[in-house]
Amino acid sequence: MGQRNVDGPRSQRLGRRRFLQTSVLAATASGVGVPEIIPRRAMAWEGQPGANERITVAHIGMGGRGKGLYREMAGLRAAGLCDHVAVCDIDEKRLEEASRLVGPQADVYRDYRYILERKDVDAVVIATPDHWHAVQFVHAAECGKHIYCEKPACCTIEEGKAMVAAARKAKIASQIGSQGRSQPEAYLAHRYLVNGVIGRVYRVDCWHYPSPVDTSHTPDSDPPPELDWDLWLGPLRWRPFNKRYLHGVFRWLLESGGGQIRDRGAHVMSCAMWWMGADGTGPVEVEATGTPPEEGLWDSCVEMNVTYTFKNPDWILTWNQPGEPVPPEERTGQEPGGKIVRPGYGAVYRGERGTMVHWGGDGGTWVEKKVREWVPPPGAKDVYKSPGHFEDWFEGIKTGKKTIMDVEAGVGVAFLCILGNLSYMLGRKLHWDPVKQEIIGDEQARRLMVRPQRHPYHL
Amino acid sequence: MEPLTLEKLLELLKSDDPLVRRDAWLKAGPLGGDALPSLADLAAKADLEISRAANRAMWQIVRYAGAPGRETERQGVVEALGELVVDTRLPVQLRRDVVWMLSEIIADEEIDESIASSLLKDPELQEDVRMALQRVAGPKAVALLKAALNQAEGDFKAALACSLRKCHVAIDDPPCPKLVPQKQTRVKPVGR
Repeated sequence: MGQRNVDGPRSQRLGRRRFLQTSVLAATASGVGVPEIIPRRAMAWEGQPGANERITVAHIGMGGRGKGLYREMAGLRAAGLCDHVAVCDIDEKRLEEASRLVGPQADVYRDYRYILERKDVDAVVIATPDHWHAVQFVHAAECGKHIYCEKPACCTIEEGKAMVAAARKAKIASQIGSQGRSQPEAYLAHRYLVNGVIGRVYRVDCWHYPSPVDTSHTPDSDPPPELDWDLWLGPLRWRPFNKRYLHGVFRWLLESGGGQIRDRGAHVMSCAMWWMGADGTGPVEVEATGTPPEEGLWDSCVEMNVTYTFKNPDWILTWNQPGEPVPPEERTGQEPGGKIVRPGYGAVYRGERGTMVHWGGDGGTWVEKKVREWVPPPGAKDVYKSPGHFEDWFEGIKTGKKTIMDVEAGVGVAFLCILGNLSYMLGRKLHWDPVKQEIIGDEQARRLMVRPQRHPYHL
Repeated sequence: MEPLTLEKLLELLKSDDPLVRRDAWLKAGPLGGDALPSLADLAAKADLEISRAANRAMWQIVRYAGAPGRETERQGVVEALGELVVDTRLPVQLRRDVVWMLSEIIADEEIDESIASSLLKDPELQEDVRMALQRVAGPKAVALLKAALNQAEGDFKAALACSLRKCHVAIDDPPCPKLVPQKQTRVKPVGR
């Protein structure tokens, strides 16, 4: 176990930072200019690592996605921008694997709260099952950590609101893992739409292949010895262990994962909200229909159709499993996003003067040839080009700038996914106040905006 | 097409064909509270997949009855669920489900104080009942949480205090332990 006192390094780093700030203030007060030898951007704001300091990162959740995120940070490690000081998982086998992957410099934990206690940890990467995201995000923010959190941001409306409030209060930099926004072809698509090449976009239709069905007829059983079932469940109400809850397949349960609409919807619809300039807004009506599995533990929709109606400006967003997939275009692999390797989901943007198709929306985001080859005319509008999803987050940590998929944007997209599932579960259209972020005129649906959590794993 | 009867629903739910079972529970909503005792019985006693289908039929009834404009249906379902939640012949896990069903549709004034107080003392159900009352969050629910706090000890007392804080009741003691780590790993860092 690595519960050692590690105040030292953090204190030393902050000490150096305070020294620099004090020196600069003294120099300024005495009328002496700031020496050129100290770049101004190296003057980190209080509590933030400076531009020349390594960000100390801890990883919470080291399953398939957690390990993948660690690997995705290889470039940042190689550039000397971060250190990985701790890993955490509730599965001891996975924790052993994580320790082997990250190396002896990383302490190991079962309980993420040991990480949050450490004052030397600047930032956490959360890659746990979805039902843990909000609780761990809020706890980490309350402990002053910067946060990269996998998508979808949250499982309930209450959770999302708490995440935004906690991040604002703590003034931390957050990034939700809808990394499609940071892909090179996402920039091209965004620029294309913003410049009105297809006119005003009035409708976006997403497609995605159906969810799987569990036909294994697996009964409840004792959990395996390496697994802390209590910590896996965390905020969820207690129930006996069943091996069809995990790992990875938590995604096919409405409570813990929410199905394709919350998994890939948090990617494809994230692109839509970004490109449509709709972050911070929301629909006024949500209506879903779906087909549940015929049997098995998993209960998220196999097939599903959701219609979101936005007002002022007026546009329609639809989520469709399977919808009408567009066959992928032929590519050489030399395009900015390379070959299309996941054509099973994407969206068609319908404008008054044409359409635009994109495939994927996550780590692979591809747009059609006419978009890639469009040359902006003089005076065309440009849009933000992310340096990479982690790189963008690191810039947020060091400078305080808004990240491309901060928690407010991430929660807004998650709300779409949540409302779609709620409308399906209740079998009726929902009316949503996008300003107050509340369901209107339906007491049962309003109660389902909240899902009280098991003690002590709560917001 | 003839409306689905309870007898027909139960017959379809017992089918060997998963498609027949699924299509049956999807249509259960309008059967209302009267169907719940038989469905609970089937959920308690049947094989895995038939039990699951019966359980899903119960949820379908709750979701149907909670729709705006279905006040009579909602009251009937609440009444039936109120009897199931105290039925000790049912498996605990099913009674927990019933608590959560009630949390979606019971009105604060419909909460039976003596039953809720008793369930808050039941180690098997108290945590679910606490969460259900937190979701309802009306004056009666909050009063029940307060009364339970005065009698509870240990972890459950702390849980009740946290629920009351969620309901905007100021509670200083016991403090919230949510950030206190509890569980040690047996894994040693590689290479140390």
